[in-house]
Amino acid sequence: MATSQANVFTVVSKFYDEYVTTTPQRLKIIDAYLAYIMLTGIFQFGYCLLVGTFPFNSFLSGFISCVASFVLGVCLRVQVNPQNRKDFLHISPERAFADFVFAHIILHLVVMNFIG
Amino acid sequence: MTRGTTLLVLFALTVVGQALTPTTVLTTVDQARLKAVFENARPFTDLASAHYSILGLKLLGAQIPNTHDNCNYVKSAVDYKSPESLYYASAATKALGNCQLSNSNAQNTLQAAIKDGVDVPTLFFVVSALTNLGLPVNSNEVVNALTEALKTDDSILSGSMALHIAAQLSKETDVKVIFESIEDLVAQADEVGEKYLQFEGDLGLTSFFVVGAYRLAGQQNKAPLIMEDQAVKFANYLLSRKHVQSPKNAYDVAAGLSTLGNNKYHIPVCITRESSMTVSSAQSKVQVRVSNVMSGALGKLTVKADSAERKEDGAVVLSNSALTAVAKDNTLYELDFLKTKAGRGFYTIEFSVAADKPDSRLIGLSGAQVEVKVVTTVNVEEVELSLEDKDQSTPPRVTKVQYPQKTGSNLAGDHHQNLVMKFLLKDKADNSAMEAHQAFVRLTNKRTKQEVIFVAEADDDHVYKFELDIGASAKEHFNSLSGLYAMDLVVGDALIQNPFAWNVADLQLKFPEDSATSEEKPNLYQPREEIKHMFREPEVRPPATVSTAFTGLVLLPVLILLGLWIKLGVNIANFPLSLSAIGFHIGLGSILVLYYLFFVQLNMFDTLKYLAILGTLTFLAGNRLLGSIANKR
Repeated sequence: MATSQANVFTVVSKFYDEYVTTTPQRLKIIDAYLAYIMLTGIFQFGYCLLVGTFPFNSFLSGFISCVASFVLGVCLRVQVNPQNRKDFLHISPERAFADFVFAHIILHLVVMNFIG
Repeated sequence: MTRGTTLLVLFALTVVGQALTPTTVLTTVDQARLKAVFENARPFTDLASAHYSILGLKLLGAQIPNTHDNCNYVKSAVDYKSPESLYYASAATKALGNCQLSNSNAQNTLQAAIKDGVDVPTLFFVVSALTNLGLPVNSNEVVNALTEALKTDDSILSGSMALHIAAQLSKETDVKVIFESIEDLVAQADEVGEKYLQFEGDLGLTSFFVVGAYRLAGQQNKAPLIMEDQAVKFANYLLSRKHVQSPKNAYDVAAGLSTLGNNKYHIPVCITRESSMTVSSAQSKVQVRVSNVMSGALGKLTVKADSAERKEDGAVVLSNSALTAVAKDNTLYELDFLKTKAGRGFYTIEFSVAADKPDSRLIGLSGAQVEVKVVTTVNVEEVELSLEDKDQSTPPRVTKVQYPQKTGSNLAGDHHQNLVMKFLLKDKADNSAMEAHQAFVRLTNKRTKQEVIFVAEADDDHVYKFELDIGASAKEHFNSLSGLYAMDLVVGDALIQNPFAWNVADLQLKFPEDSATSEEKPNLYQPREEIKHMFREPEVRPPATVSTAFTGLVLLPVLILLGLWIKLGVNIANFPLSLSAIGFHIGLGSILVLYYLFFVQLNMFDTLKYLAILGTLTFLAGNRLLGSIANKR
């Protein structure tokens, strides 16, 4: 038992060390952003479980806003990662960022409409 | 094949033809009504209605009022250039008698009208007008023109007009073809319900044809090829239309029926009941009127009742009885029905007629039916009232009552007793027991006037019995209201002359629950309880503190994000202070502000409008900025 616990702990700390050293700073910024989004989504969902789904449309729009933002952030991260360069030869990081901003503008318009 | 069909047709005719008689008759009342229609056409509004009114009154044998005014009207309304107008005017003046049109003017128009290619209606108007005015008619010329015109026109109206035209030509003219067309025309008539025969549902057309056919037959001295039952069916159709309102329709009914009432070949005989339907000992004679369709007499006749059949059981109560003529009216015949000793019931009497002097014109001589009902007086006997204990412990007290008296004292009954009433209904005529349609016992609360009605039922011996379980019926029928009730026996029937409601006794009824607990039945006609409208309840919301707390909780990750970013060392110092950079960031900020305004105030259309503007600016700025970053890299 102790060894598996130790194993899990060593895996996690090794992963964390490697993450800190090898990941470029840009990606870390994006990862921080993603973590923020996820926390926001979890809190919203917890609130809904606690007090019920009324008004349902507001809950949905808030939650889906978090989910969609997370997805767009992941897409940005994937496209900007220099290790994936050869998959996205025709899409520069600036272009990826521009797509990210454009999608967000539309997403927030829809969310503001649906939130009631 | 043809022989077989001929036999079949003959067979059908013998079966059907014998039983067909006119359904009704044009009574004097009907004729008076038609006369009123003609008289109400004054003051005349057009020549046609004047024509129909004058001819109609003449046909019904009525005085034509104001002959001089009529003549003046016709003379002023006629149009000497139109054959149709001349037809109407000439017929009217001929009916009026001492009225003269300008013959020379008329003759010019009329004779000029017979030219090549003339159509059948014009020929009809011309020939009729010439004949009415007494002017000469060139029969051969007319016949040729008519034959020519009929080649292209085979409508029923033209065929009927041809009959009228042919009847007005000289006797030597060869009109055989037109005469034989009567058979073809009749074949085109429509039969309805095996009783009526008509052309296209048109009263005028049917009447016009009937008058024309018999007119031509009379002139040619040959029987028209119309079967007897067809003539009766035509008569039935015309009789069915006798309730008309306009002068033209009234004239059509009168003309058609007066032709069928008086011609050389077919005179349908009508038999209708003149006396009341009820036959009783006070009024035992059944009177029938035997006449032609115009209620006119047919000479001396022998009228016989072939059979009288009772509807209830088909019993035949008389056969082959002769009716006696009534002295004052030569169309009335009567029969003393009670001589047959028929009991009460509904009877159908079938008649047959024979003329003393044989007249081959008379048709529909057998099969006429008339319905009567024989009524009787009813006596109620052996009336017994008794109150029995339910447990049969004591013998019941029986009270006998005699109609129309009442029991001496009130009967008292309470909830452990049954009330029983027995009675017998007897037919006074033959003293036999009978049953009535309505044998009810009615109990009326003397105080509240509320009634409850029960049905008395008869057993196989026709003894009526009424049983009331006082205890069991208390709630349902009496509402547990104890008190004095009047008990009536109500007897009635279609065949009873003396239906009655007889107060047999007064009952003092006592029910288990006393009136102390009597509940008011909710009156259905008073206003009911008001229903308060309930608006939709708002949903359950969490208390304000909880939601505020969670709002704060949701905003917390923003701080975490800022903290992480600062820790990671975001590069704010490298912010290029160029127009496009500032513009891009301001543009994005303004879009977010726009969304906030959209949430608070704006609608989608306005938002989209502003978004289009801001978005374009932001796009241009962003494009420039990112491009420059990309180039720098």
